[in-house]
Amino acid sequence: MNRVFCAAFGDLQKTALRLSPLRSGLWSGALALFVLGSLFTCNPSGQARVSAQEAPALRDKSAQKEDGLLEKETPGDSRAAAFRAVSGPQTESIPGGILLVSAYGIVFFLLLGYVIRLGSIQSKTAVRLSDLEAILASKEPDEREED
Amino acid sequence: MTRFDIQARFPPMSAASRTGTPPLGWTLLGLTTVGLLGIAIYSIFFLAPVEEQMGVVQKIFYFHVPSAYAMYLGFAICAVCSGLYLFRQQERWDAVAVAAAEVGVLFCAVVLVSGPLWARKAWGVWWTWDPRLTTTMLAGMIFVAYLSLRSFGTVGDAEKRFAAALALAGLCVLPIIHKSVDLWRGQHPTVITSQGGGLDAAMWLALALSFLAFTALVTWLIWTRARIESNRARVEALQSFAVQQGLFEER
Repeated sequence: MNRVFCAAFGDLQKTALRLSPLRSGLWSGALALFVLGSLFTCNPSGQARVSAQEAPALRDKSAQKEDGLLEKETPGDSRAAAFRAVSGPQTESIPGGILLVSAYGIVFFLLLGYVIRLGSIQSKTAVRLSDLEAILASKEPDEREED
Repeated sequence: MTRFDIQARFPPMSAASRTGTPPLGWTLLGLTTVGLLGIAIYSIFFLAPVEEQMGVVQKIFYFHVPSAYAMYLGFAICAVCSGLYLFRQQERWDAVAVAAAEVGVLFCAVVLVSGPLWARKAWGVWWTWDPRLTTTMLAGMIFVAYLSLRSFGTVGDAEKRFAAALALAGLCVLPIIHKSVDLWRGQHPTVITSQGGGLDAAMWLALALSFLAFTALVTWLIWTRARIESNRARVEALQSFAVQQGLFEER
């Protein structure tokens, strides 16, 4: 075993010693290019795994787009507004307070007006009903007399 | 109209209607509505934060959007009950249809008044012929026409049927209003979309409470108006029956 080992490495040592400095430099350069090339051409394992997972999904998405199955963004969605709470002092060019009070005031008066209208219709109906009852009550004795 | 016609077309009055006392459910709903409106107003003015860009005028949104929803509800109920009236010929459906049309027009007016007050601040103009604004106005005009038709003197069966058909036609405008933003790009913003709304959490609470309060309010108003309309139609039918019988002369 020792002989075999010594023979192998002895031969390698002899071969190495036989190489000229120029050849050694060329071999070193080739080895360096190989290592650097391997680093740049091969992706890190994690990245490669993600790409492998995304690939079918991307293929599905493009296929869905071709089929028109993918959900399209509607014009309403594209102009969706987002409201955020103010942080700090606020400045306004048009006084919003007056507009706000006017809006709520008008809503209140419209609702109040409608409720008053409901009361008015109800009272008119009640008056008509009582008139009708009074007329019918006054007719009843006459009819009884006729009978 | 004969006595049997009246009996067939008008369902027997409830005990509460005969005595003149309002039903317990109506009273409870009224009190709930008032309570919910109070809570909604408190949450709008004291809990919901001021919007970053628009300022306090954004708070119009909390009554504007539920009013639009109440308008949809009123017009849809009117159309459905009109269809039922055409199919069944019962006065109760006609009374609910009239009530819902009136309430729908009321909330349409609220939408068309509160919207421009918002627009003045947001767009710099009171009114613009935006597709959503225009179609909302169109729906309002259709149901105003319905109510005008119903208010021309003594309304007979022909007028009622024609008005019911008009309400069904008006129903077709409602999906157009809703989809107008998607169909014909306008200026009207869409805060609540299928992909979620752009609202702060406290703003959501105020909006949800407003929706709840307006649902109760619409229900209470339609119920009240339908009862009144039913009683009015009953008295009118009795009066015309009495005139036919020669009990008294028509005034």
